[in-house]
Amino acid sequence: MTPDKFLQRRETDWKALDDLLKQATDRPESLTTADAERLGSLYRAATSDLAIAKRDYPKARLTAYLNQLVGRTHSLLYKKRTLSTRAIRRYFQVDIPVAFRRNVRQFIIAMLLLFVPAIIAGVLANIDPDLAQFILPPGAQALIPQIEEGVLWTEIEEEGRPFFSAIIATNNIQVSFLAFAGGILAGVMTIFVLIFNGLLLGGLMGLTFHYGIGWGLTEFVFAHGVVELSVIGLAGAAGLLLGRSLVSPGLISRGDALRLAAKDAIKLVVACVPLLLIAGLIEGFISPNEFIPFAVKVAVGLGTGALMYAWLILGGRKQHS
Amino acid sequence: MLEENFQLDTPENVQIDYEVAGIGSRFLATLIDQAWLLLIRGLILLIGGSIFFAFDLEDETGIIIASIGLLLFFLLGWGYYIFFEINWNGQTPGKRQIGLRVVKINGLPVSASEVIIRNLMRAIDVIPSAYGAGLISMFFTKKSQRLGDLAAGTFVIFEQTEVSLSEVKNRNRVDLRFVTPTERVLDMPVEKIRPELHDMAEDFLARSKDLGEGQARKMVSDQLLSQMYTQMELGNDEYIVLSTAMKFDFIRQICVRLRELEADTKNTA
Repeated sequence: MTPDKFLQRRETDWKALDDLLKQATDRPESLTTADAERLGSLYRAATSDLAIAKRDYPKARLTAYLNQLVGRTHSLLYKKRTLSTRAIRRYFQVDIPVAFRRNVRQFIIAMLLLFVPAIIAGVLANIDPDLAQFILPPGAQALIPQIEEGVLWTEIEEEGRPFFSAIIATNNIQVSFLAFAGGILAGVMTIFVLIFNGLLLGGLMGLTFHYGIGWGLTEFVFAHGVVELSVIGLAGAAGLLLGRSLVSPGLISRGDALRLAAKDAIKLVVACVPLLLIAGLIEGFISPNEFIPFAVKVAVGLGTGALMYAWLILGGRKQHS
Repeated sequence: MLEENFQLDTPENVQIDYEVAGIGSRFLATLIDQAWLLLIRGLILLIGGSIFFAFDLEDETGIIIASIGLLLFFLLGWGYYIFFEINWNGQTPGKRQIGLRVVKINGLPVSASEVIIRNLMRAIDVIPSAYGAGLISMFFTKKSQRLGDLAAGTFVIFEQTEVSLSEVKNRNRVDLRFVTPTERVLDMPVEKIRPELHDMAEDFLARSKDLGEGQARKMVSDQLLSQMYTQMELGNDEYIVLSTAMKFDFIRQICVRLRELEADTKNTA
């Protein structure tokens, strides 16, 4: 059979398939059950047409046409179902906590990478404040003269708080994405982000305690700090997972190890987003509010932290087992 | 480095050929998407600003509007690609316009988690600036994957959209009304030439203007004639002595006869 004859004979079906395909892409809701069934049978017929065309006229335009027709239908028919609310709920109730518990070692290592430098920097800066200029990252050094005068920088005017809260939350989410994504550079970038944040936290704490305003800073940090620092640990764990897969992939290829690690890591990163939004709200509205007593702020910090860890440690145990 | 074609085996046991999308087409799609993002950001600013000034609001309310705007900007920047690639099966407005689609490494459609992975990895793909890391990675991987694609196990294909049915039907055949086959061509068993070789010859004639008069035309003419002679089982390659212009005319004459044959079979059918 010549390509022309083949085309003449099958043209109506291909045209029909093409039309259905356009309809399914542009107005999927207008498809009836009969249409969907017809789409299936037209597709199967087109695949066998493609097989014939590839055998008999591998280089003809006709074959290229059929290839793209079958290709477009294939990606429509085999596409993943769009996200249902049920799938999203399961993701947060089960998948995220399970992924956390499976990778709790990475989380602990990330927390150590954050807190060991923090404690060292804190002790050093407290003993000898001159060391602060070596410990603190360049951006935070501007705070040193202010701290020396015994003034905190944490006062935020009341009307500015919503904006401050939004900036904090988005900035922290961005940093957690970076800690995760940076894992692909063999984990180096993630480790850097963790140590950097540890030095910043510890250095400022040590310095403020040296000049007698440490309790003021603690009071400011406590309400949002428990969740926020834990989230840095979560994002760090995600990045360390990627890094470990590249450094020691085990018996599979580095590419496969990376893909497997990313599947788990992304769950930890997704968990960071709502947590940081909550932490951002607290940091914007509760932490700088001088009318809220310290005890309440401590309660907020411990309470949110307890809820968070309860979710990660207890979540999805029933469904999973 | 680029492996240009990718074959997907379908459950129907047919292979679909895809072209791996390279840096150029993906750059174009990114430009279109960035233009859309710019437009939407402009609209957010415009709407937020006009609400503020039209109702003559106090500064405090203004700050709340600004905070919402900031969150929207952030959501847009990270969410745009994720939203579209999940809901449009691996496509964004830019990718759809250029004809690109993100697929799994085995050619199957992407899942939501893969879309999120490849798009959050942008944080690293864009460093040190202008997708520097991503470009290097795309350059050194066979399937032109940026780091996000490597982590998610995805790559981008070029879905052929340039062939339409009407184009296949009315192939622009050149006008050969004034070409008369010589005795020699009339004697040839042209019915032995296979239809796809005829197609190729017609394609060649239609595009010969683009090929110019030079080496390319000579090479293709030689290849076509040699294949035609093989298929007609004519042993001696007598055409070799002809000049390129004469070879070209020879092909045109053969095509005239092939078209007559084609018309005959159509009429009898």
